[in-house]
Order: sequence, then structure tokens, then C-alpha cells
Amino acid sequence: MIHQLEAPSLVHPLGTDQLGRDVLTRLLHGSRLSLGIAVIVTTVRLVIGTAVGLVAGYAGGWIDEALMRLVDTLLAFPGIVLALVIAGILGPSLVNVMLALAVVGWASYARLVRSSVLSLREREFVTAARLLGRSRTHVTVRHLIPNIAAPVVVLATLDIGGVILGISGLSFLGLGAQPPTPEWGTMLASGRTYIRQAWWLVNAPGVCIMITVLGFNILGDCLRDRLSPAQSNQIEKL
Amino acid sequence: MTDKLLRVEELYTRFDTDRGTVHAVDGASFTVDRGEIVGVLGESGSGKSVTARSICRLEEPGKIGNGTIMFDGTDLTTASKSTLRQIRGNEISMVFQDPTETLNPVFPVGEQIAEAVRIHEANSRQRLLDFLGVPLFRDQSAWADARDRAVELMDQMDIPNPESRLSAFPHEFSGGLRQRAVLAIALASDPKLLIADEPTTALDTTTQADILQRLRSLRDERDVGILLISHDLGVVAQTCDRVVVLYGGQVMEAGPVNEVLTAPEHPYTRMLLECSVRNSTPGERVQSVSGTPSDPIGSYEACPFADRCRHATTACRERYIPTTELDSEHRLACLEAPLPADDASAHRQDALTPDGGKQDDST
Amino acid sequence: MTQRERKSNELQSRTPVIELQNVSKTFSEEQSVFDRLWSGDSAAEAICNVSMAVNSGETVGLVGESGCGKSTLAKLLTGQLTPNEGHVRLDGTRVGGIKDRSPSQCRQIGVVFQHVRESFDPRWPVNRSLTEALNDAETVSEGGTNFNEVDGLLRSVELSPEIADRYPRELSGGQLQRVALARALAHDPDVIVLDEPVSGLDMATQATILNLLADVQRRFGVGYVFISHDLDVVRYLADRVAVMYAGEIVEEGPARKLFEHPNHPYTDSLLRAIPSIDPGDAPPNSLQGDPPDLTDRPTGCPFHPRCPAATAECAEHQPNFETIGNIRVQCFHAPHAIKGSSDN
Repeated sequence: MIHQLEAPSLVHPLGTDQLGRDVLTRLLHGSRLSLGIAVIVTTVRLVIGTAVGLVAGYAGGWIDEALMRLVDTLLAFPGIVLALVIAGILGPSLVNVMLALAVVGWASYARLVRSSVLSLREREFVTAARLLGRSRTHVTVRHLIPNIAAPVVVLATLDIGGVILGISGLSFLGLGAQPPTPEWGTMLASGRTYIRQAWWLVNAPGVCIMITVLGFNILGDCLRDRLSPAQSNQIEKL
Repeated sequence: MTDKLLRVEELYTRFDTDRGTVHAVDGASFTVDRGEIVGVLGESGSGKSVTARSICRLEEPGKIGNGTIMFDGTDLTTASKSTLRQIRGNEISMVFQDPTETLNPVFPVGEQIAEAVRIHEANSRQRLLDFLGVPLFRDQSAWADARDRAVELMDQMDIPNPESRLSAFPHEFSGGLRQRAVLAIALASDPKLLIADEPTTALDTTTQADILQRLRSLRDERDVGILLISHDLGVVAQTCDRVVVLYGGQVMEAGPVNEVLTAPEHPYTRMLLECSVRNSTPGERVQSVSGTPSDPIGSYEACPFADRCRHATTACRERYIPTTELDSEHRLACLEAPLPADDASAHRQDALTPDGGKQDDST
Repeated sequence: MTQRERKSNELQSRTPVIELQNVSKTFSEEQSVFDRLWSGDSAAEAICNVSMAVNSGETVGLVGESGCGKSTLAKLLTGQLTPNEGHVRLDGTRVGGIKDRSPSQCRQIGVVFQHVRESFDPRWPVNRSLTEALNDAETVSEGGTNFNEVDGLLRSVELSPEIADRYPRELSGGQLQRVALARALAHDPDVIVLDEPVSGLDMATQATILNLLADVQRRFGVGYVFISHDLDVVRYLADRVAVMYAGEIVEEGPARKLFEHPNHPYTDSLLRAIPSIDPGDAPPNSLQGDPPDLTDRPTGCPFHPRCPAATAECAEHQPNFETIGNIRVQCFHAPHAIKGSSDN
């Protein structure tokens, strides 16, 4: 316990924390966790959302109605509060936080996919494939999914930033990763106590989160412009 | 000769694209006088719509490189923005192809016509709140007048029950009625020149005939000059007094309709007449010319039609084609003219119209 | 011309490839809750008791104003829609919509859509779209592009095989129209439904497409249902013509006869509305009034409010088909309704 709360120096570029651990090392190590979790959560959201959207859009009728009311319900709650409740019920753990965030966030994907499917279904190239006697599976896999991929991928990149914030927020509140796991939100939470003596403890993970979220947003914007200018406005509508 | 309503001379409009410069209008000259309908005939990409837009100075993102557009004594290529706005609002009106696109779907048709009337009222400066239609600040009497005028305009356009239709929305109108409403808006300012860009292409033939009849009566009764842009030979033949045939942004042939379309001198005009289905007998092949319009990138130092022309010689591909005047009205840009009288008119057959029932209003 | 007429007589005796028997189609059940809120509970009768048959090797033209049910009729033929009443028969067998048709039944009918550019997946190059149409539904696999067959198809529509790798956005309207025809031909259909196939094209391109359609028919013996609002094109290409008004066929018969001596006042009005390309001819006549609101059809003959020859009888009773030679016409006054039709 010699190097407690050392200010940034050449040896410890971002200083050390209350237990004498190097903050930069913990940040770098934590990035694997934070980014990894964010990607996993976003992927789960994307898969659930796309599946629900495809089913709702293609099946129509009461299935569509039921699924969309569920989506509306989810969207009506502030996501982070709902996640907080779920994670609170399930008990504090990283897996539970991931679960909570995934359950809360797929609704917007379902919305986007469903509206894309509805408009694509009316497009004549889909009708053309149906008139050739092609099955629904063929039409869905070959025509629908490739054509909705672009907007969904863009939405996902924009969403990753939000997920990182969500995980960090929940971890900050003590629901997610438990110390000593080096997760950005947890680091932020545990550094809070020492904010008067050691500003770097809070600022370093804070800036990291900010830069990452910003970076993903810029990436999403670029992808949106790149992939297909015609489809970009669908995302803006959400 | 000097007091033509509109005189376009050596007009060049170009578009700078990634692939190079597109010369959409490449030295076109023509005139439109009061009380006459001039047709601009051409295929897609011939520059006919760009010509129309250039006249209104709505050529953006294109640029007018050269030439003059004299409208009623004003050169529109050099006119100031406020003059242009003044002229566009009051003296030149434009009608587009698709009436559904032209009308705003969220306002009643009558309101839109009344608004056009108010905008064009010469000496009234609208207050902002009135302009925005804020209920208490609306100039009620002016709007009431405008609405009366709108009813009048709708009535002139033979829109049935104009009073009750004032509050109807565009989607409650049929295609023909919508185009008539668009015409009413265009006429609200009593324009001297009406530019109609494919006004009947989106309509059924049955309603097309009606709109064309309306254009003819505008010419005869109000002395309006009309520039009618169309790709349809029949529309031009039955409506226009003179016709300008455009290809590759250049005027191929221009002259009175009954000369140009009955005895065409330019191989391109002949081609247009030949490949019209009307001139083909079922079972026989339609005359067609191979090839597509040449790449619009780059300016033509030669005849743009040379690659598809069966009379073309090496000279046609190498040098600038001068315009020759057959007589004071009939102009032609072709080196090989006069052509042998091989086809076109010989193929003509009067098909389809079940009887030759003449109508009296053919002026 | 006699040869053509003989051809169509000959065809009449065979079992038609596709046949509509007293088919009606109303649009109401398929509306969503939202649509019903907007338009009340009114049902629009888009197709009213229509019968028609198409044989292979013949061209049936469908003409009428927009909203007369031409496209709905085409969708009934292709199975995009199912009729509320009446039957659709393919080779004599009753069939329903696409869902109820077997893949091989689907493939008996080819389609060329009105908006060609829309009808191709923007993410697929031409050869992939053609391959999708070539292979049977069950055997489709991505590696299975048969380049010889794709080449052959492109050649049969007079396109160079180099086009196979291009995307729809890189092709001109005329080229895409040819690809659309190639796709329709790929699965060897007996009848191709062509919805306004030349309406968006330039005159020169239109001419080459019309020639191509005639060549393809001669070569493959395929039947066409040709929908167009351009009567010149229909006159040129069709063997038989059906004139539609307000969801009904009001007159049907051999193209040449029908265009020379129209029996129904509506057919006559359509013909008179075409502007002649000879400036010396009389200007076209417009037809006053609008097509009826399909949710509120007029009693009796649907055309009577606009008909110059209408009498009290027309407003009260719906006329039945009357046969004049091989033309059938739904009018009380045919063939005398049109003054001067015998002058010509």
C-alpha cells in the first residue's frame, strides 16, 4: 500500500487509486469489459429486435398488433429506469445488468425493422419474387434482410454508445460489475469518494466513456451517410 | 420582330458533375409570341425541361453559361433577383407534369388558389401575421375577395361546383380536376407567358384532350403565350402553332407545326414520326432507330444525332452544324438537307379516329 | 389481317391458359383498422363480374382510364389478389392467390411490372435476379448461377451478356425493360402480364421494345395480357382488346374491328380523345365528367352519367352483353349509339 492515490506521473500516467493500482492499466483492462459488454448487449438487442420486427411486419394481423403493443409499452418507459428495476429485482451482477439492458432496448430495432419490412413488402421486387413461387423464407432471407441490414447496422452503432452509458450508469449505482472488476462505471463509482483528493480517479474513466460514446456516434453518422442515403431518413424518424 | 414576348438566343445551360460537364442546353434559340403556343418536342434527356427551367431562371444546380433570354424587354439572364421574383410571380407561370406533386396535400384547393391570387395582387403588402394566417390578424376582406376570385378562376377552368369545392382537399379531386386547379393557380396572376412542362403526361387521354383544349382557348381568348413541353407528337400536333425539335440540347428543326410535322426536313424529326406506333400497321415492324442518345458529357462539336442518323457523313461528325433557314419561319440544323423525300409522310395513315368529325375550334 | 383473325379464331377453341369466370373483387375486408376509420365502412367494387380468357400465343389488350380496374384485373390473374366472387382457372384448374398456387402454377404466369426499376432488388446484379427466376423454387442455391442460361436469356431480349454483372441503377429504362422481359421469360411462362410496359419510354425505345415483344411472342409462343392507356400501342400489338370501365368490361373483341368500328360509346370516346399526329386533323375530343366513385356506383349502366347516348333505360337497368359478330358489348344501344361510325 505504498502508491495510494499518487498523482499522474511518468510512471503512472493517470495516477493510482486508493488501493495503489495504476489507473491507466485498469482503464485499458476495463475497456475490454465495457466494450465487450456493450457489443454483446447491442447484438442481443439487434437480434431480438430484428426477429420481432420481421415477424410483426411479415405476419401482420393480430400477431403484429400484439408485438407492437409490447414494443409501445417498452418504449413508453424510460429505458434506464426500467433496466434499474429489472437489475434491482435480479440482484446486482454484471450478467443481470446485461440482461436488463438487452430486454429494455430491443424495441426500437423492432420498430425500425417492422416499418422497413412493411414498406419493402409493398415493393415490386418482393412481389416479383413471390410471383415466382418463392417461399416466405426465401423472400425474407434473400430480399428483406439484406435491404434492412443497412439502417439496422447504423442504428446499432448509434445504440452502442447508449449501452456503454447504461452499463456505466448501472455499475455506478452499484448494480453492475462489482469491485474489484475494472469496469469504467464501477471505477467511476469507487473513485467518487476520493474526488477531493484525487480528481484523476473520476475524470479518467469519465473522459474514456465520453470519447467512446462520441466515437460510436460519429461512426454511426458516417455509416448512415455511406451505406445508403435513401434509407437514412428512416432512422431519423425514430 | 423585336417585340416577341420571349426570345431565347444561343442559350447554354450546363451542369457540372463528377464525371464532367453536361451541356443540357447547347445553344438553343427560339421565340414565343403573345397568343401562340410553341411546342418543345424531344425525348428524355434532350434538354427540354432544363430549357423551360432556365427561362424561369430555376436552372439550379445548372448554370447558364451564355445567351440571352429576352422576356418582354427584360433580359432574364442578367436581371436582379427582385426583378426575377416580380416576373416569375406576375408574368410567367409554370405548370408541371404531376398535379399531385404541385398541390400541397394539407391545404384545401380553394385556399391554395386564393393564396396565389393574394400573392399576385400588385400593390398590397401583406403583414406578417396576415401572411401566416393567424385568425385575428387575417385581412378578412382581402381573403374574401381572393376567395371570390378563386371561385371565378375555378369556374373559368370548368371545375364543377366551385363554391362547394373551395374547401375540398387535393386528394378529393380527380387527376383532371387537379390539373385544372393547377392551371387556375397559374392563371391567378394573369401571366403573359405560361410554361407547361409535360402538363398532360400524367393524365388519361380523355382528360388530356380537355386540358389541351383549355390551353388553346387561353391562347385565343387571353392572348397568352404558351411554351408547351412534350414528348408526345400528338399533343404537339394538335395544340401548337410552332414547334421546336430538341435533341442533345440543340435545336434540330423549328417551324410551323403543319410544316415540321407533315413534311419534316431533319432526319431526327423524320425518325420521331416514323417510330410513332400510330404510323405502323399491326403485324408489321415499327420503324426504329438503333442506338441511344449519345453521352451528354462534353459539348458537341458536331451534330449530336450523327451516330444514329442514316444520312450522316463524316462532315456531320466533324464540324459545327450551322442553322439554315428554309424560309422565315422554318429553321433546320442539318448538313445533308434537303433530304430525299423517302419516308415519313408516305407512311402516314389516318388511323384510329373513327370518323373524321371536324371540330370548329381548330384555329 | 385475315391471317391474324384466323389465328385468334383457332386459339379460341383451345382451353385457355388462364381464365376469369364472373370474377368480382371488392376492397374492404383487407383494410386495416386505420383505413376503415378514414373511409367508413364503404366497400369499393374494383372489379365487377368480369369474365375473360387468355390463350398462349395471343395478345389481349386491356384499356381504360386510370382507376378502371386494369391493374386490379392483372393482379387477379397473377394471384397477387384473390377474387371475392367467381373463379380464376389456370389450364382449367381452379386456383386462388399466390399462397394457394404451387410454384409451378405461379411460374405459368410471367409478370412485367409497371415500375420496372422498382421490380428489381437494388442490391442484386442482373444475373442474380435472372437466376432467381430461372431456378425452381426448391433447387435454388447461390452458387448455382447458370451463366449459359443467363447469357441466353439476355441474348433473347437483344441485350449483350456483359450486362449480367450490372446493377439495376446502372441500366437505362429501355435496358431494364428488356431485363424485366428476360426475367419473365426465364421460367418459361404460358402467359406474361405486361403492365404499361412502354409508357415511361422514349418513342424510339418504345418502338424497339414493341418489336421485341412481337419477336418474343413469335419465338416462344407466349401469350400477353397487355395493359396500357395508350390506345395506339394496343392497336399495334393486341389481337383482342377488352375495354374496361368502372371495373367492368364494357366491350371486348378483335382489336382491328373494335378500333375501326367501336360499338360502345365509351370505346368511341377513348378513341376520339387521342390527339392525331397530323396537325391537319381535328383536335381530340375530351370526355366530360369523371369515372364513378367505386364505393358508390351509379345504378344501371356505369357509364350512363357521361354517355352522350344515354336514355332513361340506361340509368335503370344494367345492360347485358350483346354479341355482334365476335365482339361482345355491354350497351343497350349498340351498335347504333355511335353516330357516324358506319361512315368510315
